[in-house]
Amino acid sequence: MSNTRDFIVEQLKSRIAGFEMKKERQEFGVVIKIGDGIARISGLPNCGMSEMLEFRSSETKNDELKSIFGVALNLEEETVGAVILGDSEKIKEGDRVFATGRILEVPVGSAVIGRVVNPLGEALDGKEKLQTEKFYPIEKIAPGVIERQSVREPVQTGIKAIDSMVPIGRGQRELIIGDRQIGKTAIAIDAIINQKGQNMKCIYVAIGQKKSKIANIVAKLEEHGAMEYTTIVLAGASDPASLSYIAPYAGCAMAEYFLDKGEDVLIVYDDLSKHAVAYREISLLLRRPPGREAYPGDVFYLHSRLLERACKLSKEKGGGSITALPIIETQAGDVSAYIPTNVISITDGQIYLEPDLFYQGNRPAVNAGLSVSRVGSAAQIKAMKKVSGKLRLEAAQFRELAAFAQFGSDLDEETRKKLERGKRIIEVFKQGQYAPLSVEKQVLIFFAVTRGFLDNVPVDKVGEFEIGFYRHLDAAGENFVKALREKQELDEELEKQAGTLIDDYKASLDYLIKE
Amino acid sequence: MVISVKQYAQSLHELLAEKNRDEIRLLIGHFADMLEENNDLAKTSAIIAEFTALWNRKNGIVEAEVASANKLDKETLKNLSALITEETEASEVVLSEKIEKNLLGGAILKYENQIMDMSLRTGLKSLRRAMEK
Repeated sequence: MSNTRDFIVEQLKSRIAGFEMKKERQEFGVVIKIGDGIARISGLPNCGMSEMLEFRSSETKNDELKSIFGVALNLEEETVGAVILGDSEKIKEGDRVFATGRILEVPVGSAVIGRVVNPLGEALDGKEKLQTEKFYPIEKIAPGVIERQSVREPVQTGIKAIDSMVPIGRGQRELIIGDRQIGKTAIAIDAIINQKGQNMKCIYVAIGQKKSKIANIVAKLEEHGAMEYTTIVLAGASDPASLSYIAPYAGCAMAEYFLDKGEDVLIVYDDLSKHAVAYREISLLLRRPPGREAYPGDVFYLHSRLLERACKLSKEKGGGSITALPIIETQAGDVSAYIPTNVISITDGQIYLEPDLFYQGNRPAVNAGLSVSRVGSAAQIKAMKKVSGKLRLEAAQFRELAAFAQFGSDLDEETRKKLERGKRIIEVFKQGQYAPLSVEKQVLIFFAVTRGFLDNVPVDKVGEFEIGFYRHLDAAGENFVKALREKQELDEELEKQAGTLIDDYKASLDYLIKE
Repeated sequence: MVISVKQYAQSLHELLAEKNRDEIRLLIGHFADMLEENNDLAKTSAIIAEFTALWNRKNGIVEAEVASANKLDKETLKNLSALITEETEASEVVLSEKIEKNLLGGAILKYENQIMDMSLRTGLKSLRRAMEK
C-alpha cells in the first residue's frame, strides 16, 4: 500500500518539477461595452475574423478556472464586436480579453456518440465530462468538386412515402419543410431509429428547441436502441443566441470527424428557421444593416456554407458521406418566404408536409406533387426502383382525379379502377410514428399494391391487411426476405415467390371483396 | 458633419509637426476655439489620449507598465526596458511601476497591446489547472 503511495508522490514531484510556467506574450483588449450577449472590445489590433476570444475577469480575488469564450464577428476600425458563448453576466466593462489565435473549435471523436452535449462540447446528460483527443474547427471549407463522388447508396428512412417517392441517398441534402406540429421532427427521428444496423452514425442538432421536447426524444431513441450510434447537440431555447448560431456548425464538425474516417453520418438540423432567427438577433445587436425581413445580408451564406459540407467523398478520400436533413418551419404553408426559398435552392430536394393531408389522416403528410428528390432512383435498390417507379406520379395523378371525381357520379371503368387503386396506394402510405419499416417489407407491400393484389381488399381494411401481412412474413417468409436482402433486386423467381406469399396470406382473410 | 476623435487628433498632430514653441501655443489655442465652435469640447480628453498615442508612435516612444509584488531593483527594470525595446524597436521606453501585493511574486509587464504575465499568482493558477487534469 505504501508503495503505491510513494509512487504517486514521486509522480507528483516529477510533474511539479517539470512544470514550466508559460512566459509567452499575449495580445489583449479591453471590454468597453457589454450587454445582450454582445461585447465591444477595444484593442486586439491583430484579431482575426471568427477568432476565439477568452474573457478574463479583472478581479483578482475569484479563482475562476473556467474562462468564458466569445467569437469575434465584427472587425471595425476602432473596436472588435464579439458574441459571447455563455453567460455574459459574469463579464464587466474593463475586463481583459485575450486572443487565442484559433478559430472556434469543438471536441470531436467517438466519445461524442451516445451523449447529449451543448455546441461547445460540454456534457448535458449528467454523465462524465467529454474526453476527446481531437478538436475540429467549426468553420471549414467544404470539399471541392474533385474530392466528391456522385450519391449512390440509399439512406433507408423506414418511411414508405419517402423511401418510394422521394428517396434519399448517402451524401444528399434533403429538406423537410412544413408548418408547425406537422411531423417534421417525427420523420427525422424515425429516420434515425431506422439506421440501426445500417452502418450509419447519427447526429441530431436541436436549435432553439424546448428541453422537454429533447428529453422526450432522448427517451424514445434510448427505447429503440438508437442512442448507441446517435449524438445530440443541444442549444436550448433558454441558451444565448450565440450557442444556437454555432450549434449546426459544431454538429457538422463532429460529423466531419467520422467523414474523414470514411464512415457515413446522418445529421439532422432541427430547425434552421430558428437558426436564422438567432443569427438575425446577433447581427442586429452587432449593428449590421438589416435586409429583407430584417435578416442580415449574408443569411443565404449562413446556410449554404453549412449544407455544402454534407457530401459524398470519393474513394481516394475515404468514401465517407454526410447526409443532411435540414428542417424548416413555414408560417401558414408559405414556401415562398425568404428563408424557405433560400434553403430550398440549396438542398437537393425537399419533403413537403401539408396540413390538409395531415388533418385528413394521411400521416406522414407528404405532398407527393411538391416533394422531390433530385437524386431520385439513383439512391434506391433495384427492387425498390422496380416497384415504386411510377408511384409518385400515380399518387399525384390520383389526387387530381379524386378532386375531379367529386363532381361526376358516372365514371367509366378505367377511371374508377384508377381511383380505387389510388385510394389503396394512399392507404399504404399511411404509417405510424416510431414504426420504421425495413426496405424488404416496403418492397413487398408496394409490389402487392401495384400488381393489383390489394384490389379486392376494402380500403378501410388495408391497414389491418398490412399488419397481418408483415406478421405472416415474419413467420413464413424468412427465406424470401433473406434472398431479397442479398440480391437487392426482384427477379422473376423472387416475384413468383412474392406472389405466392401474398396469395397464401390472402387465403386466410375473411374480409376480401367478392367479385 | 461629425468629426471623429481620431480625425481631430490626426489633424492636430500633422499641424504641429516641425513647429516651434510659440507657433504650437497659437495653434493649440485655435484648435480649442474650433472645438468649442463645433460643440465638441466633450471629446477633449479622448483627443488628448489619441494625440499622445500618435505622438508616441511617431517618435518611437513606448509606454509600459510593470506591476510587481515588491519593488523591483534597477537592474531588473533596465532588463525589462531592454526587452520592450527589442520587441517594439522603440527609441524610448517610459516604464511606470505599480505595486500589487497579491501577485505574490514575479511581475506582469504590459505594453502597447501585449501583456506578459510572469507573476507567481498566475503561475500557481496554471499549475493547479495542470494538476487537476
